[in-house]
Amino acid sequence: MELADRAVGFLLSFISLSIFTYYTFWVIILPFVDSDHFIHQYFLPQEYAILIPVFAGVVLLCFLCIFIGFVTLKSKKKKA
Amino acid sequence: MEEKSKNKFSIIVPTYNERLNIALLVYLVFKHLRDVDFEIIVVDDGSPDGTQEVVKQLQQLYGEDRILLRPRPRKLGLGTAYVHGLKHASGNFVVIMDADLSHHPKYLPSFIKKQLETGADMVTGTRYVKGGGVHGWNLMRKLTSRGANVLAHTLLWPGVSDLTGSFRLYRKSVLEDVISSCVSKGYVFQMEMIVRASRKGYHIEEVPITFVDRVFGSSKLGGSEIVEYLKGLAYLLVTT
Amino acid sequence: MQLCLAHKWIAEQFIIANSMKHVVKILTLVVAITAFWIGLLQTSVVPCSHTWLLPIYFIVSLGCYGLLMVGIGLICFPTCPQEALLLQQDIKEAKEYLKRNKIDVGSD
Repeated sequence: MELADRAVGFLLSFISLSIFTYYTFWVIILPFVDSDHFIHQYFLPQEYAILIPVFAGVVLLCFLCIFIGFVTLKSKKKKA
Repeated sequence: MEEKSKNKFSIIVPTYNERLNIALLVYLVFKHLRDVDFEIIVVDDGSPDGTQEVVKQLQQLYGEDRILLRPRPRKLGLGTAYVHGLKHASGNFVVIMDADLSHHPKYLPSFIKKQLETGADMVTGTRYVKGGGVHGWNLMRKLTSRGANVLAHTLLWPGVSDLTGSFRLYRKSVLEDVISSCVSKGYVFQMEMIVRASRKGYHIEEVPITFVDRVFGSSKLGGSEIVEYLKGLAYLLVTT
Repeated sequence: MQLCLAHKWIAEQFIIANSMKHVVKILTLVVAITAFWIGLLQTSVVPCSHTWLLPIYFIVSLGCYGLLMVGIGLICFPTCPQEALLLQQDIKEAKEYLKRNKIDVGSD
């Protein structure tokens, strides 16, 4: 139980660190590397560096709004 | 030593259907606070299980000046329970704690010692440091509590590690000052108290405490609690 | 003299900062960062396509920071199983004492 919780924590930290490292590479360092360098084949084109985070942000916001709306509706129903 | 003898601590315990727990709590408080002047103020919200009768029996045993019963007719909320108890407090310091034994009275001496050492206006028990801890929380409960903590720290910069704990010692004047400007309920109430105290520039110290959920997973966090918390966070952001 | 004035100025800034609502403090920070970003955009010290990505990079970093802190919090979550046992002992002791003094707390 305890160990499992710890493992989840470790997984979360690992995910966050890998996203950060990958994104830093993609956005900050890659534009300074020649476009015919082999490293470019591991990364999507630059447009996606904007599209993916914006898409993720919108999805997250929608989810939050739906969650809040759902809970508020439910609690209102309880009161009535 | 002289300072110590002058201080009096009023321990305010709000109860609702805590007939067994309040008796255990009173015994443990008397066991761990031997050479301190204190009183226990039980604010009972009209429990149907006979909590008040048990308190009356305890009064016979320990004395009516040590245990005060200040009941209210019905459930009126936690925040007003503290205000109600505070009106009857005769000490210059006030301790607030839960009756369900998730807060163990054995930490009371460390609160008092910390206050004496630092002269703090408020000493708050924190579960998230070394020496403290939580027992009986599942993964979901841990996850939400950590998430809530990170969110509050990033947005509010409160300067203390445990915002929603409710085991605290206040200088009486400070509690009176802070409580008068607090309007929230539940978890947010505890957070509002400490954020307002910190914004007003009161000296806040922390001591590690442990928090034991005796019935495993009894303190559930549902969707409505999370939404209330987010609302409270937004409210504190614009008003403090 | 000038040092004294500087001190006074700093003290005044402190008082202003303390009386500000918290949301104003955060907004000030955001505005300052935005101004810095627009400055970068105008002077084009770094390539333009780069500068356009910076705000998103900032938000992504913030998200990663939050996730990392939650993860670390979970790894280092202090638990106290021994406290639960100690509490059971204390409860037993207290119950015996209450029984001796004939305080009826029920069977639960």
